[in-house]
Amino acid sequence: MNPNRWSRPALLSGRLLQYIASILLFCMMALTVVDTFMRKVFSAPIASAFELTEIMLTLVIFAGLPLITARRGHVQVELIEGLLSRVVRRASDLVIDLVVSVALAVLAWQLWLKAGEQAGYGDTTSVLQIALSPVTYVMAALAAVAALLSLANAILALLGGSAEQAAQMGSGGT
Amino acid sequence: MITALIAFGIMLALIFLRVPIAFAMGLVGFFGFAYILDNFGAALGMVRAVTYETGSDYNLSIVPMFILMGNLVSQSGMSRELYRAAYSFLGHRSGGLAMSTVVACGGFSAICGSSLATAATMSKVAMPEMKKYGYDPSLAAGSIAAGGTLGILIPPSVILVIYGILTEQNIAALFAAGILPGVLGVLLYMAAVRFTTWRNPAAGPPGEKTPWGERGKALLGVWGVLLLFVLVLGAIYTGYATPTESAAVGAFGALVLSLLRRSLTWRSFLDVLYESAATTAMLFVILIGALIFANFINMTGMAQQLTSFALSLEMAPIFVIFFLVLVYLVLGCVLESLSMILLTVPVFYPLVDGLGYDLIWFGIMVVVVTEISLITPPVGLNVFVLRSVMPEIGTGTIFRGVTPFWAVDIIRLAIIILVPGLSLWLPQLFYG
Repeated sequence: MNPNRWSRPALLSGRLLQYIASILLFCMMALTVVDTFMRKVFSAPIASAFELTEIMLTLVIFAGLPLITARRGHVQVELIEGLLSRVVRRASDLVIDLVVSVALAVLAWQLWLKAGEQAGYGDTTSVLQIALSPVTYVMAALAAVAALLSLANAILALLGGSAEQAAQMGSGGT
Repeated sequence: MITALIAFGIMLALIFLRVPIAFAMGLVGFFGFAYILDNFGAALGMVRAVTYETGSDYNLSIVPMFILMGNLVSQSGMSRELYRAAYSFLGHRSGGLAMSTVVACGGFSAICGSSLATAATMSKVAMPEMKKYGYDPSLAAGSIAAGGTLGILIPPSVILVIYGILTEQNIAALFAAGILPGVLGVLLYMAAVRFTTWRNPAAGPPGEKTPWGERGKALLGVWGVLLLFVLVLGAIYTGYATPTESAAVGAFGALVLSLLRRSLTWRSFLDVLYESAATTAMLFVILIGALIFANFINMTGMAQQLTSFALSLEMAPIFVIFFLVLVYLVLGCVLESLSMILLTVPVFYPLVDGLGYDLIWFGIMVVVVTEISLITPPVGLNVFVLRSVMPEIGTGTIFRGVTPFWAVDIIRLAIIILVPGLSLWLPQLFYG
């Protein structure tokens, strides 16, 4: 397996997700501010602000999920870390990455089912009538990406590293 | 009850074995739920519902807004003016720079809802100054680590928001309740600095005295902080805007101030946005895991059994509170703050409510205990934040410096428990 071949697209798509999450967060803020202003000053609130905020919040969280997972950034208690030898540490990294990967895969599967349900009922938001299923499909897909990244971390734990490090090291040379 | 206790045990064991906290809670919650109902399909459905609904809950959109606001003010440089203003009044006293640090931390907490961000930001301003005057590194680091904990008590506060959502309490009332205990915290921390320099004057030599004209100028320099605080809290208290709207306006205000001060480049703005988004995602993953766990714990009936057990003991309810505090102090040694609150509050608040206590008051108590956990070894997160900013100072040195602050925190906790009016006076004034 040659990590270099994958590092460039991985890094680029990671950066793309970063920008998407950042822009969505900014839009959430801007929308709420404009909505508040319009309501207070012109008594003309943006009727769809509520549902748009909900969708953006969802997407910020799920765009962040693969990014956090790739850098093993989920909050951990590192109480015994110092006591472990390198081999034990790496082995425990391997097991933990696999557990996280399976959990995220199950989550992706369940969200996919949810999206299918929504598509079947034709669920939409109440004001703009935006179809909800595509949003949920995106959630499921991003959870699946996170699951794959954790699996990649597990494989890299055998070699000693994380997916994010590998991507950065690989692209440094190209 | 037994099932719930075993589940708690397994979960804590997984956390110790370095399983990410969110996943430890989520997995135990999922399997526990499936075990009680003997039905994996129902447990999967629960996980699906919790994940979907938490991720798209409008009320929770207040959390990323306060995170964004905190990160924006952190890079705005306003912490420098706060420190200068505090220094101009306190700097010439013995231990004055450490006292200024504590006061500036308190001021910064009024525009930042996170303790870690407060500690990290203030350390960049206060540490070089204290170094220049030859402060004992343990006093210098201790005052920043302790002062930083005020971030989650003095409003706005991300932790109080989450407590309010969990217990269905009024967030504005919770914010009001945090103010006086926060001020008390500043005063007691100043006393702790005083005590340290009384025992060893060399630990905190005085700085230069500032003339009154300069003091006035320095005080005027904090207008940005004051404006943001009044904007956000004023909008919440007058009921002019909902807390969520106020949080977004606060983030926007922080952005405008940063632009006016020219402290923001495109690069740093993108960094702030991304860091805020990543922190948001991280918090929500923990939140989802904790809610899955809470759904399982609710099925076990642990909260009700705990309440009836406590009532059957027929002892003064205050002893139950003391016992809970003890549980928190022990858990605080090993758990990260948000997870601790998410794990314990759903179990404890029906009990506290059943004993006839005010849940606003309990919220303040929980936050103060959490503040203490932030500086308690071995997992004092604020101490680790300081370490990452200043690797040259040892963890042991910081923990040693934190000790007097930890001691006055225990005094403050006792005062808050024994004098509920300290927390409840302001909310009652505002909301009757």
